[in-house]
Amino acid sequence: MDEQPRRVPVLDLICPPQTDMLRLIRSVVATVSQELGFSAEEAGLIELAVDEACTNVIVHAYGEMDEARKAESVLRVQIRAASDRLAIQVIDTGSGLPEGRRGVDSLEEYTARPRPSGLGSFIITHFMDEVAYDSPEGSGSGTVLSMVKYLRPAYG
Amino acid sequence: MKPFEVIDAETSNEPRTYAALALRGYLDAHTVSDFEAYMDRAIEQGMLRFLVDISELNYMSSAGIGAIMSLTQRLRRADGELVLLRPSEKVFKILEKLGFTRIFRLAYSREEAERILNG
Repeated sequence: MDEQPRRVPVLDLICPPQTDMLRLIRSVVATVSQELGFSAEEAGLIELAVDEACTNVIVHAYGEMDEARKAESVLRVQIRAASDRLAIQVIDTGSGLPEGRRGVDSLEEYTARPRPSGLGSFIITHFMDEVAYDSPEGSGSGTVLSMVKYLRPAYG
Repeated sequence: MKPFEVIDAETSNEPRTYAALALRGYLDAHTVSDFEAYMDRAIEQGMLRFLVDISELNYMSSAGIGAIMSLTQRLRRADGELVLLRPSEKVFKILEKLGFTRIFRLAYSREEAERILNG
């Protein structure tokens, strides 16, 4: 047999794009993070970043979609744990984030907005080490948000 | 246990200068509308000062932070205030890392919160 044993554990969560799924996703992400060696505080921030990514998908990518199409849509969260990092992809098949909704760059920009918005994307870039959006050309083709958080040796 | 609850925490302070409530569970995109609806009702009834005990709130995402930010701005424009009492360690870390401990009014005892609200 040529097939090698899988060296990187992968969790693939596929769920309806509904906000009542967020708690379950957070729970899985926080558990995996801590088992990999992240501190409770770091795990809490990873959990928050993933929550924000999923919320953006539910509210923005699928928010304007008609109910019939939404019922067939999924929110997919792939979690890959390696010895030195946690890589998470949040995948949707929705319309993508509208122009100008990529989030704020600072807290000052956030508080200056007439109605606070854009903090979720700020959290993702602030708390994760690598963040990349991949939106294939064409409306409705979806977005893959890839995030990586590296494990750092404990101090002291 | 419910995922999120807003609990009236009425006090005996007379005259009633502020409304006291407690949040329990998690405040995220799924539950934030319950909190906003509760606060909208209270503000419509004329209340402008709030003591919000979040010691049993174990999670807050940007949806919750945004709701508190909007409420804070709205209340301050009307000379009101919202004080967050005794944030749990996890919620405090989130607020601190993002800089919101400099924007929101936080208190660590009932007396401190009352001084802010009655000041």
